This record gives sequence, structure tokens and C-alpha cells, in this order.
Amino acid sequence: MKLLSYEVKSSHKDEFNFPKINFNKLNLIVGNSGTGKTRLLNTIFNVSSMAVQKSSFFLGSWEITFEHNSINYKWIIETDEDEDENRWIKKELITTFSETENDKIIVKRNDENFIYDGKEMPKLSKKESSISLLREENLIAPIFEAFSLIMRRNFSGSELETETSYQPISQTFYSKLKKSKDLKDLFESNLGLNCRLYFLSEIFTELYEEVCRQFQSTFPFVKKIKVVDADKFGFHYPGKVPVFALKEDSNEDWVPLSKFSSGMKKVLLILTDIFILPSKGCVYMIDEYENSLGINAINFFPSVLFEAEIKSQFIITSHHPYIIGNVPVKDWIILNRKGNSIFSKQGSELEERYGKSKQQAFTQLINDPFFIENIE
Amino acid sequence: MNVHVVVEGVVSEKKIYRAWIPFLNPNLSYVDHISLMTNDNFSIVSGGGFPNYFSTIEAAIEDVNSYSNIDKLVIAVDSEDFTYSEKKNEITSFLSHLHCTVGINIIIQHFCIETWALGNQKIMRPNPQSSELREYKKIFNVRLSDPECLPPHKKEELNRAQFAERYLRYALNDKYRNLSYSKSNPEIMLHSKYFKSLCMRYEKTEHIKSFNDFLLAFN
Repeated sequence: MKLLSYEVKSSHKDEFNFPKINFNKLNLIVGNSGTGKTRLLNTIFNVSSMAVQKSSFFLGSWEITFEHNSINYKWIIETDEDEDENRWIKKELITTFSETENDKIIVKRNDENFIYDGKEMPKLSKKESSISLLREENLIAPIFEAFSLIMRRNFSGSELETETSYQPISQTFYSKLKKSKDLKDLFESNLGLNCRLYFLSEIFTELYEEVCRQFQSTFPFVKKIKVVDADKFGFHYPGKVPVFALKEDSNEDWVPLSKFSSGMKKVLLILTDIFILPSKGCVYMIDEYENSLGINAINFFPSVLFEAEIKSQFIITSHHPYIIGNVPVKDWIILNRKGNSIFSKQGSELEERYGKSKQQAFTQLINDPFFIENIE
Repeated sequence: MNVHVVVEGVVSEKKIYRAWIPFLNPNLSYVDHISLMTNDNFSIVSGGGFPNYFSTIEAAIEDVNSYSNIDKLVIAVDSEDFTYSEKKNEITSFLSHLHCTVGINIIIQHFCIETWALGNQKIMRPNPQSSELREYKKIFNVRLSDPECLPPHKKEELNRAQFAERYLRYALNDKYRNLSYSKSNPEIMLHSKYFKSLCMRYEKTEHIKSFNDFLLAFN
């Protein structure tokens, strides 16, 4: 899954409108506070939930283009609500497109008709996207899979605590994973960090060692790391409860993951996420990962991205000069906002001008009128 | 004449210089980027208040050298806790190792741009309403004495630049209700009347002497 472009027109007064934004493999969303960076990640995540889940429903109209298994798709969807706040899908269109061939319509749906692959469908729920309704159909299954491969990390709530809590492993899942050896199963498992690291150490040893190597090079004072039993920390539970633990230079005791600093937890979580991303390619979104990270930890992310051969697409937001300075200008997306409307500028538009000055790209960004214009 | 300006500060200097330069020299008009200069333009790059100010100056010199149509480079810095001469020597000594194809004017804002701003006598009411401002006036009356001689506010643990900024904010709040000054919103200082009152203060008194650096750079 790779997002190619994204556009939203909201029909709700509290929501923002986003213009058409084009995405590269690496995308750094920059902009002053309040310009809509977090909202952009949220709305992409929300619309992907609307594609694959029955329960999620948002108001507006979206036009999304993406690539999956080397096929380009366009999904247009418009929702509406009545006076009783009942929401439904008003319009939906799914097509494939390419430079050489004409667009092919897969789904065309409006108030009266629902056509899939040229055939009229019986009446189906208007409260569910065609991607969710027809997920078993050959032409839709890859699209459903594509939208399942969008992942967002948001560190504003209790996500780190939840991720690092103790959790018993399921033997059934262990057997399934041992047989399939498919990272996608682990990616989709919704397991916490301790369990995921345990499965990596047992079944995907090389990846586990890579995660540990990257973690230790970010925090060189960590001398030993190991997945141990929760019993070791006085947590007794029937069944196996794995705990990722470390030993530092100066301390002989094992420290369980739940006692790591929030910066160390965050780095480990992001590293584990990155190495578990299935090889089919995912969209991985992180909002301001640098919060609570020291300079030693902030630097790890750009270097991991550039070192590792990762097939996934990254959409990250940041205010940090180091990160902004380490991502090529062509991969920036600058946001600005006037009222509910977001305006964007692609880094490719700035590349030429910024190349005409020896000032650092970050210095030029903070002097750019589009960046410093006041939010209205 | 085309002029490239480097300012140190966060937001305020860039906004203020952009407004003030044409008051002094109406022939000069602002462009967004050094590469856009044609005739009688000026561009401003701000170091953003980050500690890499010297690298911003170095890059500005490289830029000026690579464009043949730039006639002058202006570098503006706060002296903060240094004396005027100490700061000027620091910048001059740094520049002595660099080659610049055009003339350089150094502006030392002694000790920050808010110190100049306190030179506007109209912003201080003779009888301030605010008790803090009355207290500040007792410590040092900027209406009568040279703002460049403002001392640090030891009780509030403010150095003189911090004191100048707070003094200015309280004075503006006291004079104009609901008006707030901040480094990101120096709106009131952008008006020509404000600028003229600083020129008057400089001309009629021996005060805010470092403001002359600004006048010399753009006249």
C-alpha cells in the first residue's frame, strides 16, 4: 500500500478541508502549531478505518489515490447525514488508472444504483463502504488489504503504557505464526510490545537481532537485552507472559520494559513497528515522535529510515530542526491554515528556490512566507 | 541598490525590519528570498533564535558572494549581556576570517530591539495605572533616562534584555488597553509613527545611540 494523493472536503463545521496532497515514499509534514498536521494524519487514518470497518463513519467527501500490488486505484467517497444525524454513503466510485490504459470502473454507487464490475448489485447497506461490503470479491480484496495496511502511532494518550503492559501469549497464535512465518500476521495481531518482541525473538531471529542492535546503538549504556518470564519480576500468571528486559552498565538488575524511560519505550516501539511492517508495503504514520526524546534518541529515526531497506511509506510530522534538516526538501509537505481550509505546499515546489541559497534548509523554511504566515 | 539583511531573532526582528526599512528608504522594497532580488530590493533572513547564528551569517556571505547584484550585507544582532563594543568586536573578529565581496554594515541592537522600542516616549503614560509599571518606573524611568542604561531587574531575576521586553509589554498594555506585545506579535512597532518617534528620541536626546547603526545601514 502506498498513498499517492489525498484530498478531503469536509461537510462538518468543526472539520478541516485538505487540498490535494501528493505523497512520496518518505513524507515529512511541517507547519506551525495549529496548521493541521495531526488532523491530516487523523483523517487519513479515519478514512482507512471507514474503508475496512463497519462501525466507523465520518462526514465529508474524499478522493484518494493509492498503489497496491503494482495497481493504481482511485477511491472517491461522499457521505451525508439527515436531520436525525443518520449518516449514509451518498456516492462511491472505485477505479483503476494507469498512464497507458483507460480508467476501469470497479464500483459505481449512488443513491439509486450500486454497480460492481459492471453488474447491478442487490440492495446493500448504505452505512458500509463497498470495500468493506465486498471484501471477499476478487477485485475488492486487494483494496481491502491495502487499507488494512495503514498504521498510525499517536503518543499523546496512554498508548505507551498500553503497549508496554504485561500480556500472556496465545499458544494458538504461536503455532499459527510458526507455521506461516508471515510478518503480516504479527503486524495485524494487535499484540503489545512485549509479546511482539517475544515472537520476533522466537520466529524472526534476524529481525529481532536488528531491532536490538538499533536499540543498543541508540542507547549504548544498555549492555544486555533479553526476553524473560514475568515471574522474574514477581508477576505470576498462568501461562507464559514474556517481558522484554535490559541490563545497564552500572546496574546488575534486569529492568523490565514497563520501567524503561518513556523515550526508550518510544524508540523501541517505533523500531519494532518498522521491522514488523509487512514486505507488501504499509503506510506508517507518526505524529511528533520527537516529543520526550533527547538528542541521542531523536537522531535514531532518520538513520534507521535511510539505513534499512524498508518498502513502506512513512508520513511523519515534526517541528525539530534536526529531523527537518535531515529529510530532503522534496519530501516535505508544508501546511498552512486559514479558518477550516488547509493550504499545502509540496517540497518539490521549494526545492529549486532553496537550492539557490547556502542557508540551511531549516533556516529557509522558518523564513518562508508560506510557513510563517499567521494562522487565521 | 539591493541589500541582504541577516537578523538574529525569533520573529519580531524580521517583521520590524521589513516594516522599518522602507520608512527610512522608500526606494527599497521587500522580496521573500535572496534569489528574487532585481532592483532596489531587500531580503531578510532570520536565524530563528537558534544557536547557529554564525552559520547563518556565513551562509549569507556565501549567498551574497554568489549573486552579483547585491550591493550590501547588513547584519543585526543584540548585544544582550555584552557591552556595545564587546559585541561589535565579536562580530568584526568573526567576519575578519571571511571574504565578502560587498560592504557589510553591522547593527548592534544595544541590548535588544525592545530597548530601542522603549525609546518611544508616547507609550509611557505620565501616571501609569498598572502597579508593576509604576514599580518599574521607580527603578528606571525610560521616559526620561536612556533606555540603553536600563539595569537588570534583580528582584524578578530578569537580565536587562528580559526586563526591557517586560517593561515594554507592561507600558503598551497600560497605554493601549488590550494591546499585547510579544516577540511573535510586535504589531504596534510596525507603524510609521512608532518608528518616527524613535528617530525623534535619537535626534533630540543622547539616547538609544545604537539605533544610529540602523539609520546608517539603510539611509
